[in-house]
Amino acid sequence: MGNEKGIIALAGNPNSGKTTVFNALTGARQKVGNWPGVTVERKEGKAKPGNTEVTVVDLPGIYSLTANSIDERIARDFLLKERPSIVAVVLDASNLERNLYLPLQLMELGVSRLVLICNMMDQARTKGMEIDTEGLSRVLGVPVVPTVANKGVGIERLRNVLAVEVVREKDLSSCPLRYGEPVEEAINELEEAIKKHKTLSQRYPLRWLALKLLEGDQEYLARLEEGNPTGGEIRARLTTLRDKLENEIRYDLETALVERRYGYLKGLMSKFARKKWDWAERLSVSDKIDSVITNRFLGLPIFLLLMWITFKLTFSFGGPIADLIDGFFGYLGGHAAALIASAHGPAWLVSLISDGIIGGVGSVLVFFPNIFVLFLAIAVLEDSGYMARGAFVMDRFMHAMGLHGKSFIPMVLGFGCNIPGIMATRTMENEKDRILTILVNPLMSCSARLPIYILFAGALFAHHQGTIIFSMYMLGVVLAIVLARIFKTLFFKGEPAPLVMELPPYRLPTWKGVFLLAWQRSSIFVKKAGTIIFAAVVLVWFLAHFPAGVGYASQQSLIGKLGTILAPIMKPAGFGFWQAAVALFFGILAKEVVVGTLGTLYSTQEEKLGAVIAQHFTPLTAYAFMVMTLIYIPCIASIGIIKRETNSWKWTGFAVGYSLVLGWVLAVLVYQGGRLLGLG
Amino acid sequence: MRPLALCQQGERVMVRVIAGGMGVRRRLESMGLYPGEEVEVVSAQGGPIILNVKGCRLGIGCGMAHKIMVSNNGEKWRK
Repeated sequence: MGNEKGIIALAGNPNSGKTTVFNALTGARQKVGNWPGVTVERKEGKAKPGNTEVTVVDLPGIYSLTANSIDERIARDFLLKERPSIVAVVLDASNLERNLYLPLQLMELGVSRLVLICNMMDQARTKGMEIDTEGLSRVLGVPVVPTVANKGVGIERLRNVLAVEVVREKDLSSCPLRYGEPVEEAINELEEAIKKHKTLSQRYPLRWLALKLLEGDQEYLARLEEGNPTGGEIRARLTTLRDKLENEIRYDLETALVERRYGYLKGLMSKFARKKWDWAERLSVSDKIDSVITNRFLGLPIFLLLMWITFKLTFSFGGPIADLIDGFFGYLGGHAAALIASAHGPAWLVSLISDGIIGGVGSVLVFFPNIFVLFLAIAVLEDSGYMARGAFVMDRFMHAMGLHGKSFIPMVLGFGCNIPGIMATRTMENEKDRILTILVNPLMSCSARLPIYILFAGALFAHHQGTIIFSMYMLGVVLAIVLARIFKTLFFKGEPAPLVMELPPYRLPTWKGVFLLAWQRSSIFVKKAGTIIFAAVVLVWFLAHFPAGVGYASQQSLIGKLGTILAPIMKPAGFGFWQAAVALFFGILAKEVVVGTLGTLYSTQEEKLGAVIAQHFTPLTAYAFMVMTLIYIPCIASIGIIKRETNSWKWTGFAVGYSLVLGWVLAVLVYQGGRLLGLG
Repeated sequence: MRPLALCQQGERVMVRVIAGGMGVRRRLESMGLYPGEEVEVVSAQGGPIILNVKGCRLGIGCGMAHKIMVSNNGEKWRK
């Protein structure tokens, strides 16, 4: 079995501190790429345990290898197909028994070189557990390294162990777990039968296959007949064996096998963990917090309060810094123009640099502080353990609207950016729930739409800016609820998958962890500003400047002509002038481009963009415009991710189509309704 | 036997039957919940339930809590 040299796969349960270990091993040398086959985000980094550099791949957090969710399938396929040199499993030492179930499965799957990382040893000690990692290592036949990754304890030793293991030539370590005489006999007999089944036996170890078939695993049972004549024979043998065994042990085989595995782990615990966890410690601090936060009456108000604080922070901290940046770009634009002019640069260059690039990209980058603070707040909610509670508290409510408790996290992430939001649906087991959650996710007002709200609300609703922006977020949420309900009854009939999720103990988030997460997500925004938004504003500038001889950004320019064609469509919504139409048109590339385009087109040295906007819009048309930008179409990147995650052009087209129609209809309703009420 | 959904806060019970598809059973199993395991009801307020399973906290949705049958500890239950 040839192992891929130099790849260390990091596996483990969610909340075992896997990411902390990954960060400690790789430092800042990380990159985000794609999983082969499925184009899903994959995190990897470089580490240098010995003399050679190795790649560390962070697998999704999983409980088992049964391939229930996409995350589990990715992890299992990676382990089976890529054959990493080492699979390092991060274990939460304070919950060792449950955490050892995954490595036990890995051993049964024949994963040869395991390293177990017994993380959070300090918490285990606080619980009064003394873990004999060396004893554990002897019995399991794999290295076991104790660590406290968030304090850097044990990382050096882990590096040394990895350095030794990565070059060691070793045969398959066999799994020490045995199921007792009758079951083992049945396994042997089945192995003999499966040997002849070429397609299956070449992909999986025989013992694993025999076990899975005995357990009645549908996935493998279904593949027995897959173009193979021996399938029927194996199935017949299987049935006799199962019946015989169930008669002997007197209850169902599936349960018996699971019990045997946990029985084995319980045995290990009693030998190597001096004190098992104890019922007496049940009312931990975490449980006390939970009795308030998940309280049936307090749960929802607390959630709303946290959301309110999140947005309050986003504006009160982000705002002043944003003003500074705004001032900086104004200064930069003026100086750049003066500098080029003094060097006798051509006038078009002055215009491109100061109006186009600095005016356009600058007007978008200004909002980076707001977006960073928003992602920071979301990271705190995630790292503290609140997010899982949110899903738990909202489960009933989510059910009522046709969604799943686990839809909650993607929806909240959507406030930051719809892309991580849509990707977070990967933990959902039921495909219907997942697609439904993806379809309504773009209605969650992402941070790219925030610049538009801030600009318009600031320009026309100076005294009610906060309320107006909040109403946009609420509108998005309400629409998501209504549409989810409708889509559910139309396309996704049936019960959502049952909610089962771990509630990790509350933790004080670490600065490092939170900042790293917020940076990883918000840096996409800066990257976007440097690439797609930059390209878009240059294109807009170009179209605004040509054909030669026309006034910059006049209606006779190319962009003016394009806008004039599109504008009548938007007339019923009250903003039927060409600048608004092209801003929306280019906003499809990324919603920030709406602001960037307006910044390029309305660019003036003297006046702030907001003041120019106030001349062109009334409060009513501005509101209709904001409604339109909230709904009208997911940005190109979101459309791409919807296609990837639903793997269907039909659903992607549907997401684009419904949002275009809905956005237009609502913008028109707002404007016409407002006029009837005498607001226009 | 009675469904988990009807248990009181603080009760310690034994899981006996988990109804529902193979997928759900497998998932619960990998999280430490399977027939024969003793669990404690940490929180039950008429909606979703929080369980103590091997020292971890599992949140179980209302629907699922109706599909998990439990018995008081010590009752004989093997066939």
